[in-house]
Amino acid sequence: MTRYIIRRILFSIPVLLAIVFFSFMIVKMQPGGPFISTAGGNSLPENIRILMETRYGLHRPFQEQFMLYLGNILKGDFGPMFQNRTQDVNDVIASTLPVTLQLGVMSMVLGLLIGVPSGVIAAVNHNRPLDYSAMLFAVAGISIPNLVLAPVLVLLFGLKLNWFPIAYWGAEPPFTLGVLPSFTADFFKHAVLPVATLGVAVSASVARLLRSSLLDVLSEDYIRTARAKGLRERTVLFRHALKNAFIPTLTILGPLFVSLLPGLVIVENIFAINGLARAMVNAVFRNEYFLLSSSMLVFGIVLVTGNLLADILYVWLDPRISYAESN
Amino acid sequence: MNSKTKQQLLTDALQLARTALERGDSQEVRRQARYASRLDPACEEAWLMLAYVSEPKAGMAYVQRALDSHPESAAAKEAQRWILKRLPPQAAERIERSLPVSGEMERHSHSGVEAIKRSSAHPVGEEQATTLAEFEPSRPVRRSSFFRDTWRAFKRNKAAVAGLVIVSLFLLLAIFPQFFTPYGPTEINFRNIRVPPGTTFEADAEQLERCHWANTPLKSLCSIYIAGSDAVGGDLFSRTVYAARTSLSVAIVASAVSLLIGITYGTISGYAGGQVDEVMMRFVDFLYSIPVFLIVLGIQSMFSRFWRPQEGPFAILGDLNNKTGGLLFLFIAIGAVNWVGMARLARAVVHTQKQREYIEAARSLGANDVQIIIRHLIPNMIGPLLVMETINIPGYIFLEATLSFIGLGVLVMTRGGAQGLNIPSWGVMIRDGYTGLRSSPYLVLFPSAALSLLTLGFNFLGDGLRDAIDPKQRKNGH
Repeated sequence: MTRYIIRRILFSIPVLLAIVFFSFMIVKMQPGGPFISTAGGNSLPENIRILMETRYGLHRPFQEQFMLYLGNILKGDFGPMFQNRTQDVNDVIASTLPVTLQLGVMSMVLGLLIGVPSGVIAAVNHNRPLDYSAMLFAVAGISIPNLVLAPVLVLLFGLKLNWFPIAYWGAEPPFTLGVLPSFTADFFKHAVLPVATLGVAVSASVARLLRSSLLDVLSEDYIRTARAKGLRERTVLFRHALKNAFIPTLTILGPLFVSLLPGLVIVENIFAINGLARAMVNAVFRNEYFLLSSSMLVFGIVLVTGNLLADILYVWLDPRISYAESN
Repeated sequence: MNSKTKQQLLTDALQLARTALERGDSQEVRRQARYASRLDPACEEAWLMLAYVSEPKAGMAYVQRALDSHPESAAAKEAQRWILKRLPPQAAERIERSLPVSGEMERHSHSGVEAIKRSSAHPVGEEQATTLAEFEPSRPVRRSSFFRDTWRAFKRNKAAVAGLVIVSLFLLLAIFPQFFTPYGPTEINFRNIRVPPGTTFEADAEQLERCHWANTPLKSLCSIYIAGSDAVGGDLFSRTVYAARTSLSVAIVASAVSLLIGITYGTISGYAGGQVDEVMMRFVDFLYSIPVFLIVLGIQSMFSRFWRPQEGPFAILGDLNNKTGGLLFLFIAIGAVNWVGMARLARAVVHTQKQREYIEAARSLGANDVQIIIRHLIPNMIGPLLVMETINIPGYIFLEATLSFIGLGVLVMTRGGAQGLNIPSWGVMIRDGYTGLRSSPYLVLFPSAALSLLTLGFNFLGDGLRDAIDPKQRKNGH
């Protein structure tokens, strides 16, 4: 087990390195730079631009800059911001990452809270109206993109019914322990629409997979044995069937978590939430070299770690998998 | 292959069909025997082999062909009797095929084998006959081709058919938008900005000239905004329909790109095997762990923001990208990150198939690696790969809409400007419309509905296809 985890962690190091290199290379291929106005606004005088670039080390050759940046990251310094110089990238990440994490984790939790019961209900009522309606919901949930769901929810519950606020996040830094918001009514009110937007897709995937694996398990011999023993249907379902049916569902939790990213970008943009996904996209348009590279790296770390955790959970829960295999 | 005589080709095909029959690969038997029967319509053995691997009705027809050329053939009559035994009275029995083999069925199938033996120019060995006997009665013979099987299962699934209809409809709209819309996508009319759906307006002579329906009975619709108008007075309905082009071309071309790279990479890796395979697959694992969206975001921020080659060897690419409104780089970016799954699947197929005997047989007949890959391996992987692509397509469409929404997708230009095509995209339309959500929600709702309907169609289609080729899934019937 420990060996498996160590191997997985070691394997993710080159992945993260590649993300840093890739993002750094991309921002470096840009003509112009942070001190050259491409929009024809007030460009800095030539000598001052050179001075500024020298100050940030932008005049050095590419590989030197990259090594410098890498060294700084290892020291915990993600680099400066160019346009808003009262902050550096560390400040931006510290204030935006927790918001994005709260949003992402709450969406996953909501997805499981809706997805698991609907999957179970659908499987237990196989080929009955409850099954069909649950699966209709699931297919709709998978097919309606965040891009569509967010405006529709805003229109319906924000503008027409006026139940929930349609913008901003209900918590501001500083957070408890760096990530935990204060769970006030206002926080939840603000969270409903963005979290629902992201959670629906998660719940739909979970419900579909859980239903199909539960159906598979329910047709196994040992379930028939359990029923033949005279166990109550509830015991059979929760003690015997669900335990095994959960395992395939666990395998998609990691990929589902990773696939939240484009949704986060959209939701943070639509609801004007000051999160890291929005900051990352804005960095592309504002030529914030260091913010773009660093936020890609941070997302890489978070998503790769999330995926890793899901895999470890899976291996830990399923005794049939031999993780000691040294292939 | 061309230098071989017809007779040689015929012998080769028959030999391949025999080995396939022995192995129980009815699909290969059909392929080879059909080829043989085309080469020589009077070849009795080919017809009989086809008869033995087909469903009873078709089997009888094949036997008839054999009897045409050899009216007195005992083998053909034997085959006829064998098939007759398997017709309706035993239909119930066929369902219980998984039960132990009954004595009678075994006897009959044995006589079937004998029939082949007798008609065959090269006698089949005793050992082969036993394997065939084991295969014939106990395992259901696949009496039809992969595609016909799939289609039959697919047709039964109502949702899948609905998906096919939706997707075909959108394809039709995307290919011939001018028949279905009153105006083009680049219309401007500053007198009618953000008017609600159904508003009529006075179309002047110039506009009427541009109206696609000016000379048809639908002429009155030329002066109605069916779905309202957008911020510069363009017809929202027309733009929504035209935007299907963007989504569908991304869906199709990005699929093709990822399929092409995936098949090439996976086939090379699987066929080479050994160290090469190991290294190539490790690289795929590595790419698999990088979140797709980060790569696409990176590539697109480079392509659509920074990398606009005006001169040099890549200028033609930049030019082409501008001419396609930014679609070219989108194809490349989306295709370039999604081939990884395809490569894994392709490699898995090659890995399992290349050990099989028919590959051995083909090689011993003088087929080289390229021929084996093209004739045998790729046809085997194309079905599952296409299904996987269909399942992935909603993801490509989401990705395009998302990128366009954040401004890294299709190039947005001044309408009617000289810089290239103004390609409407549902993602861009939703972004533009969102600012006026309170006063004119239809600006968001129409493109949203189109986008959701198309992805729903592809989801139904993909699920239906997957269920159709995977009977285990069919059992649960979504």
